[in-house]
Amino acid sequence: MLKITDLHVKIIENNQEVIKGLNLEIPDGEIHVIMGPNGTGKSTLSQTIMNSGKYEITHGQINFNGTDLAKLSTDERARLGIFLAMQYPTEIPGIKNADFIRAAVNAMRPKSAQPTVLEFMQSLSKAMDILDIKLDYTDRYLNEGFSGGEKKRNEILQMMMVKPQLAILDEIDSGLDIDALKVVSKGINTMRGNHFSSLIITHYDRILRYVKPDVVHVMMDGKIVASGGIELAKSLEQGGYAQLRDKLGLNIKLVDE
Amino acid sequence: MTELTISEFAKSHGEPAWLVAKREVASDIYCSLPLSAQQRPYQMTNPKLTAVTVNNDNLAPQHLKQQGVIMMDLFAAAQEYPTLIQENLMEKTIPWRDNALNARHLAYLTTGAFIFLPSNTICNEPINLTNFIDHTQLEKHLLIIAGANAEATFTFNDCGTTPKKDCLMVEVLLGDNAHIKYFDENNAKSEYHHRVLNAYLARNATLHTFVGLFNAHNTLYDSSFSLDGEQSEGYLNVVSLGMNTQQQNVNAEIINHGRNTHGEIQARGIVAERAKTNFHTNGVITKNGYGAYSDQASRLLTLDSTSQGQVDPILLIDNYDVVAGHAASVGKVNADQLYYLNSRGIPLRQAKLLLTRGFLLPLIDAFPNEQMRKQMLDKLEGRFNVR
Ligand SMILES: Nc1ncnc2c1ncn2[C@@H]1O[C@H](COP(=O)(O)OP(=O)(O)OP(=O)(O)O)[C@@H](O)[C@H]1O
Ligand SMILES: [Mg+2]
Repeated sequence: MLKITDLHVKIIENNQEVIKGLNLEIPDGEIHVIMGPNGTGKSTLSQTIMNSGKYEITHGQINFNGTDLAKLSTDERARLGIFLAMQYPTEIPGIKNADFIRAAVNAMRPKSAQPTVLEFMQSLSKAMDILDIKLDYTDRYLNEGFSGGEKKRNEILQMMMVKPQLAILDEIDSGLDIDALKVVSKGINTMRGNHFSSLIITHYDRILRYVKPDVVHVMMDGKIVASGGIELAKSLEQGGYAQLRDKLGLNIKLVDE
Repeated sequence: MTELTISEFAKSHGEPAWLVAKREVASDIYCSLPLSAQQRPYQMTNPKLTAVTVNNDNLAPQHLKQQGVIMMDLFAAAQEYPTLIQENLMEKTIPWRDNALNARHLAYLTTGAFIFLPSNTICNEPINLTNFIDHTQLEKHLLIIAGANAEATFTFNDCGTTPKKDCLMVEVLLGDNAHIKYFDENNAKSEYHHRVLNAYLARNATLHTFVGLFNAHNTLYDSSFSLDGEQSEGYLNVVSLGMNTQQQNVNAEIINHGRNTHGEIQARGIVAERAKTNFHTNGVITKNGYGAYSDQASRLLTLDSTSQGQVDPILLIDNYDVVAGHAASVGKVNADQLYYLNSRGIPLRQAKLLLTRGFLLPLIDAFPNEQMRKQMLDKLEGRFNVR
């Protein structure tokens, strides 16, 4: 279970506070969604959970399965079972996709539990099959020259291979065509279970047709301002953020105003 | 064993008089020849010369011997093929008078091989030159001559024990339309290792050299190609790994003399743990070099703040009808890439190793045999003591 309490986060580079007292709880087995206007701090939240060097927690706590994450490095957090599919996956020329995924899979387990090369290749091709990824992608350099949609699929492929307990998916649906959206959703659904939870950050309720969420949160100006069921996402799709803000009586300026 | 003078040594295995005389002159004057600060640590104390037995056989494999290929002890070749050796040994590509190290090398040369490919020889299998010289000696030499239209790939790999300081000089002379590749995996064990590979290219000849500097100690690598013939092409590639206070100096130069010649220098290196690496690359286009192409790309990756990397590319152009460029960078590990790897549970050290491998891989992958590639990657992993 992920538990975030009164979190305040600033951007180190310009000292600007982006997360301003955020509370969130994601119990095991649940899929939560965060929606919110551009620039409201959704990616900052996800990067902070993963301990990106660009942000600093000024107040509050992030707790995962009873462990305070404050003192843990990025790789230690990952090994606790947290996975972040990034909004903009990094390209790394020189590292082959398969080698990278294998290193990630092995990093998550003790030596004795690591798959052999053959076992690894078998489960990799199975997952690639589900995601409709062409076989030659294993030999390509990590994300290099991948199209936007291919990068997203590759993030889901990594998730399926690494088998995290919590997957934070930052705009995993952006830039996906209709077929790809279905395929990626199928990948997420294969992970569902009592020991898997997910935080899906999205702008559209499209993906929610395929991946049924337990809770939908709305984030504005660095805080969760509303939580509810899937109907919250639908009402946002129709009325937009300004309407919700006015309904809640919040004094927040949106980027597009 | 009794210690011999240079001339006694040379005569003991029947070197021709001109070579004995040349060695003596070299020995007399090397002290007065130039020696740069960079070269100074690579000077050696004069070795004790003792008689060596020379094998006069042509050691080329049977199928190459039939095509007229010669692979022979350099001193034996000096007797058998005096004109070829006299005209070429330390005259055209590594002139013995150029500096004190060169002259001293000639004076005290104790092991070497002569490789000769007659015109039109095509060798399909890579030829390993490793065992043609005695690695325990201080001054070692390879003289390679490829006749017109000859084609071959050579590999070289240091092995066995080496003295505290040593030097290997390689000369490559290519006739018209000869195509040679030379892959060199430097594993020298000496504390100061000096390596030189200079080449001369006639018309339409191409030379690709790949050198992996994966040895653990101080190294001076000098390489200069002279693109003399029209349309000759030279590709000079260096990969280096500097760790543990090691100092590496790489001087790579391509001179475009002929018309429409094409030269590319590519150097990539890793520096960590108080190591210091300097890539000095030089593209020279002379007055006659109409239509020349000259490109240099040097990249150094420094893994920590204790290490130092320096790249200085230089272009000297005497002709304006040319295409020339250079790119140089000294950079740290990319923080976003490191973070991405970390976010998948890969610990810092391993993530840096993966990025380092990735940085060097494009050049390592060019090596023709699996064993060499594996050895370099194993070396990288074995010596990678970065936190
Ligand atoms: N590294 C950074 N340097 C400077 N400003 C930053 C940095 N990271 C985030 N910000 C700023 O912080 C605010 C929140 O950014 P964030 O990426 O978290 O928004 P978001 O909710 O994910 O938006 P979007 O929906 O457009 O992805 C924005 O104003 C952004 O410009
Ligand atoms: Mg975002």
